[in-house]
Amino acid sequence: MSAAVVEIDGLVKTYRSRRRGPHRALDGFDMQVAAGQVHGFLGPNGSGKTTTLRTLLGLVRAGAGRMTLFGQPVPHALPAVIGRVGAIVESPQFFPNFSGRRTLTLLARTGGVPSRRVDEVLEIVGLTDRAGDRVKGYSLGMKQRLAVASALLKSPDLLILDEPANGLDPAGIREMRDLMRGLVASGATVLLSSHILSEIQLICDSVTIISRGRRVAAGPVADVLAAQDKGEFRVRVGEAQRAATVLGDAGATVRAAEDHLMVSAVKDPAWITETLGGHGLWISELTPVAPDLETVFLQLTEEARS
Amino acid sequence: MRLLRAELTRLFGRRFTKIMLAVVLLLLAIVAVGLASTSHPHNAQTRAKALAEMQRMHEQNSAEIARVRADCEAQQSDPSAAPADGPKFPPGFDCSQITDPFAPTEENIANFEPHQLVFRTDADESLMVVGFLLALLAFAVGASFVGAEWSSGGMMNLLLWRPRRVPLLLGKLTSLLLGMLVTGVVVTVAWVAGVYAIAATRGDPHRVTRGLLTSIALTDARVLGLVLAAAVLGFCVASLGRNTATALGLAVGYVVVFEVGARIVLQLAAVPRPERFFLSNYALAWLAKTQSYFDDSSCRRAAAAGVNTNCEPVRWTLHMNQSAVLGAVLVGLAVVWAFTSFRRRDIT
Repeated sequence: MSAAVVEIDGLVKTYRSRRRGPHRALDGFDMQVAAGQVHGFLGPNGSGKTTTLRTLLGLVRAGAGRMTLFGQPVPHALPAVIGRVGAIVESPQFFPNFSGRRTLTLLARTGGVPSRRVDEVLEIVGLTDRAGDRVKGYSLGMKQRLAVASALLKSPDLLILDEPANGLDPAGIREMRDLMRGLVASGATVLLSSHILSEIQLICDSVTIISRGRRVAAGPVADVLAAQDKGEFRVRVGEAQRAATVLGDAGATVRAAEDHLMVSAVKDPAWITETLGGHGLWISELTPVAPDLETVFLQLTEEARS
Repeated sequence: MRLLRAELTRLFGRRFTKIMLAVVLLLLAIVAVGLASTSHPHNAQTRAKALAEMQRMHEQNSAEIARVRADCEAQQSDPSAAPADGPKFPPGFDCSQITDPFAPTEENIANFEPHQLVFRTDADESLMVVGFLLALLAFAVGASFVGAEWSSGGMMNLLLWRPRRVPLLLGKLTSLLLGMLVTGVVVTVAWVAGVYAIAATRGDPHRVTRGLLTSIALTDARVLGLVLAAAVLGFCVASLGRNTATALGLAVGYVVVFEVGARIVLQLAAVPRPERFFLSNYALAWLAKTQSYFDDSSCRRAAAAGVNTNCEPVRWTLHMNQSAVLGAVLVGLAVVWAFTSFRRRDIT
């Protein structure tokens, strides 16, 4: 695995409220993001995703734990590395009466970025034609593109995107995916927090799943899926009831569906063929059912809740 | 420096700043038109008219005084001669004391001439009106400048570029103060020039000495000090409350509850020198160097107790030094509180 761009160990954050008392948002959370990858960051609402990103970016003070960006401890060394990090956290808003170009120009001036970069990022996110319009006239998707453009201004080595697909139409989502792929191809790293699990599965090289402030799974997408693979098969057979009894008696876990059986806890599909054939039952369909990210996500986060 | 430039552009690019500035300039224009339209230059014709008016009044007064004195003398010789609805004089009263206090002099003529704007005396006073308007502008713009950043999430965006919090907030505050200072200097200098122009065309522009210009410059400096203090207070309160409405609400609340409500209560309770509790009086004293008040609380307490005394209200004065100390303490506390809170708080 390449060197870690982001490392988080044992991160703890407790919010204190006079009315509701203390709430532990992060409870010893760990995460590693390797360089040159798109890393997905998944978790249900309120699981601690945004708190993690805010803490990493110095917006929220951690109670305990260690974090590094590009090997530098943060938040202490944040001023030294922030120039290499582009981030959007929870759809930032901009002054509605400024144009998109002016908004980016002011940010570029604040960060010492050459003004020609403004036109470049407007082109990248497809806002060039509307750059002179006031932000208040933008659609949700256009505001999201503007936010991404603001994150790209620094030509970042690490791009942190919190729900970047919010408000984007399917074409916009596809463009965002291509953009991230392009960035990774040019050597950047993308940390992507999203609810759209199919997107994560399509684009991410690795993932971290968080639930209740703790990491419940992490690693390459294929490994995370494989770890949750229960050896499940869809079996279509003539006498379903008898087949279920036979397989159950032989040690498999069987669940009857409308017109087929779901058989799990089986390592080799040949065993199903052999077992049923031995009882004169002949299979018309035998399909391995690989878990998708959504299934794994729901399974892991529900396990963490229970 | 880059942050300052960006923040100054942001400050003057905001619609709120533009609208507030336009409103203040419009109000000042209305005041200037009022000053010009009520000012009439003094000349030989107005002087002759004033002299005639003064003589007429003097003659009228003399006749009235003579009549009252005759009444007095009549009452001294015959007490029953006192009229039912006229002045009554006690026995032994010295009627020769009844004289006409008004004697026509050169100095009195000006009082009978129409009002004219005198640059020497009016420039300073009118500058104070400008000062109050600019202070209101600075408070509102200062509050909105940082409050809008908080409520829109812009502050978070800025911190993603500039994670050092104190320098960031200091940069924003510095750019606000710089912007308000430049605005204040331009507006006040233009105002003084405008007052001079009105005086030159419709009033008295004379006796402009180096001393007068120094005095106007010092008043202007105090006006700018008030403007900057108001900007800092608006900025800090809005930053603490994380929105513009906190600062504006606090200001309106203070005026209604304290400046109006508490003033009435303190007056009713006959609290000695109630004026010392109100910020507006310190602001006035700051601009005018001193502000005098008459304290009649002891007289009112004596009257309420039924004690009949020849009570004289006590004159007392607020000095600009007291205002400076109070202002510095308030501004200092607001800055320390706002910056400490910003350095520690979670940006959520």
